[in-house]
Amino acid sequence: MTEEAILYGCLHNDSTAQRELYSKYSPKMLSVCYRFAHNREDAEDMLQEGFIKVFGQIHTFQNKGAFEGWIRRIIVHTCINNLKKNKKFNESVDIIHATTIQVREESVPSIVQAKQVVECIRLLPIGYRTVLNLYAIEGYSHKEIAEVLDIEESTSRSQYTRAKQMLEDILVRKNIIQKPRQKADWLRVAGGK
Amino acid sequence: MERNFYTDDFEELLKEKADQYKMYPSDKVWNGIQSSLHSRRKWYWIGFALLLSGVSYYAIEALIAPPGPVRKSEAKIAASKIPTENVLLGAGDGKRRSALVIPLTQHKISQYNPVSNSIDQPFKGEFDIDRSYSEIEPGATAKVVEMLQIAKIPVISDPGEKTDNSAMAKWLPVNRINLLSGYQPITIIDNTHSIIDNTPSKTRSMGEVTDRKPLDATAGINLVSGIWNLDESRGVARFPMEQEQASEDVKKINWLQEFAFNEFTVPPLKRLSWQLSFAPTMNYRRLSTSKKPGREYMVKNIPIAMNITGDLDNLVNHTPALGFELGSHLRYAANRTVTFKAGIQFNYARYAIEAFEAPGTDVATIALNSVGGSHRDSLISYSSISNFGGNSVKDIQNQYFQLSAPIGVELKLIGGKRMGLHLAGTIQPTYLLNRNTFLITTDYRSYTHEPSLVRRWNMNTSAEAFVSYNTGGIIWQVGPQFRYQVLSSYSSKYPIRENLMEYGVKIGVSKTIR
Repeated sequence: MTEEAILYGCLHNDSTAQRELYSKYSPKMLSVCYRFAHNREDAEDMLQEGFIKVFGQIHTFQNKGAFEGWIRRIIVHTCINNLKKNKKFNESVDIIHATTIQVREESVPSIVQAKQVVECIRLLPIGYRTVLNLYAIEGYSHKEIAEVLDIEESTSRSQYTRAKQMLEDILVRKNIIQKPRQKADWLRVAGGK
Repeated sequence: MERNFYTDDFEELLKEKADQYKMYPSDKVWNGIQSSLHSRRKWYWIGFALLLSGVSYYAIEALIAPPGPVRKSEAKIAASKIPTENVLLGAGDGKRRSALVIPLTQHKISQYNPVSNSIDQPFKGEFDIDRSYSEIEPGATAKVVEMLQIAKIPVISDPGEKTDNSAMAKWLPVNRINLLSGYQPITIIDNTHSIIDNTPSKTRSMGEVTDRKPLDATAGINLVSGIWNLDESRGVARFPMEQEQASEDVKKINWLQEFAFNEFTVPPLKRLSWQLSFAPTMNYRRLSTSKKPGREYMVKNIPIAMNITGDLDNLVNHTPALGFELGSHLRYAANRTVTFKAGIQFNYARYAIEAFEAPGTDVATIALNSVGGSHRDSLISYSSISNFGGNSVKDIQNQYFQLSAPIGVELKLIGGKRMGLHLAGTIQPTYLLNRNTFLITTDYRSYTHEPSLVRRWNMNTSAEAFVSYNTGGIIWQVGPQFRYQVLSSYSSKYPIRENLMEYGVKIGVSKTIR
């Protein structure tokens, strides 16, 4: 089915079109949820809730911009609302938790894998992880992040800086990346795979 | 997104690898989505259809279908006490002077064969009633006719009228109750007059008027019994008389008097009744913000929102819409003035909102209540439905499907047996079966869906006044009703309170059960 046909079917509550839309976008959206969630179960719960909202609000999509981007925004906001609702997002706790992060020192292949990067992102405290996900991956500005997370813009910037530094340390310790100054060489290698 | 993308290679790597990574959800996720989108609605309508069918069935069964023959209840009482299954106790007058015993079945009196001393064939005769008897017992004759007709025993309407069937006989009291199996006794007990010739040897032919000899009053009520002999050659039935022993008769009569309906007393108050009601309603809402300390709504929670003040009801454009209420209740009359009732009720409530189609999709933020202002929270979504203006008008509706268990009391103010004026009130624990609701954002700018903020359990109260009209066991009522939702439609996290209200005209019909 074309995207237009899927959209038309979903607007008319056609279950075939809804299934088609879900099959097309759920794998990527689940990975989005997985980066925000504590575990896979939570991620699937967020995905379910997000798609219910997508189907409920599909009549508000106005064909301006990519459909995937629109779905992704809804999924991201669902994840954040879920974290807030379940009180899993708490600034003060995260700072304390951040100092006790343990990184497993198992050997990691030198070739960078997407799953490993995602798993490393998930090792971050929830507050750092959320800001990093929103800024570095989802492309939100610090101003938008501040609005969404009910924090100050300066807090968003500082949290991101710390999150990025921590993630770099984790990736280095897991031998996923080499030292930061050799990052350009590694990127050349990873880009060739 | 505002910022320049990919300002850092590291960020580029993260973005690239994160987008490459895909995970495949379990089937449980899609099943959950499906059931939320479709099955819930389907089961709700199935449940509603079942409720409506059940209520309609009982309404038709109890209120519209005619009641069964009266004799069934009488026969039940009689059948449990009488040694024979073929006897129905009839009514007599109020002075205990007579009681009538009528055969219950449709069979006529059987033909007795004196040679074999057995019952061979049903007697095919017809019975005439000695109308002169009615001079003594004015109501007895009519009652006998009625009961014979119920038992499908043909009765000649006028004395002396002949039918084609020449086998006619005077209708006379006959036999012992337990005479023979299959034998159908008819007995008249009268302690003042006897219409039976109690000469054992004398037989009577059809058409002869019986000599009336008063019985010995000191013997009390006499039951004269006998056995019909059918004279086939003459087509008549002969009745050789036998006289029972007085003691046995008295015993049987006393027993009959115990169970015969020969006294008419004031019927007791029937306390339990079942009511079916329907009310078309006009539904609307009242919006307000919480005034409790620590729960004040602050628009300033949202950094970039405009600070809009004013009465919330004036800032939104909503109008009442038509809904309905359908209920089934059990009513218990404590006395002739006060009645308690409880039951189950379905309400469909809705109201219309005039909104606008926004030029684009805007961020819709709902700032949630904070306790003491210590931690601010909000829910973010996107909406293209604006409250203040847009490209075009867009009418939306909020709908609520509720199931309630009303418990209340009715008070009869004035009235008699037929008509009355009543007041009633109930409290109704309510469960929200389904809803389609748009919430206004806390900056009043947009409308959005947020199911997590809708309250499932609620409490309603109602008050009504009605006029009732009693048509012999069925009570019709009509009158105005007002219903008010006590708790907000939304959870306490949502700073805006919504209280639903409805008014309508309630029509109800009640039938007494016992």
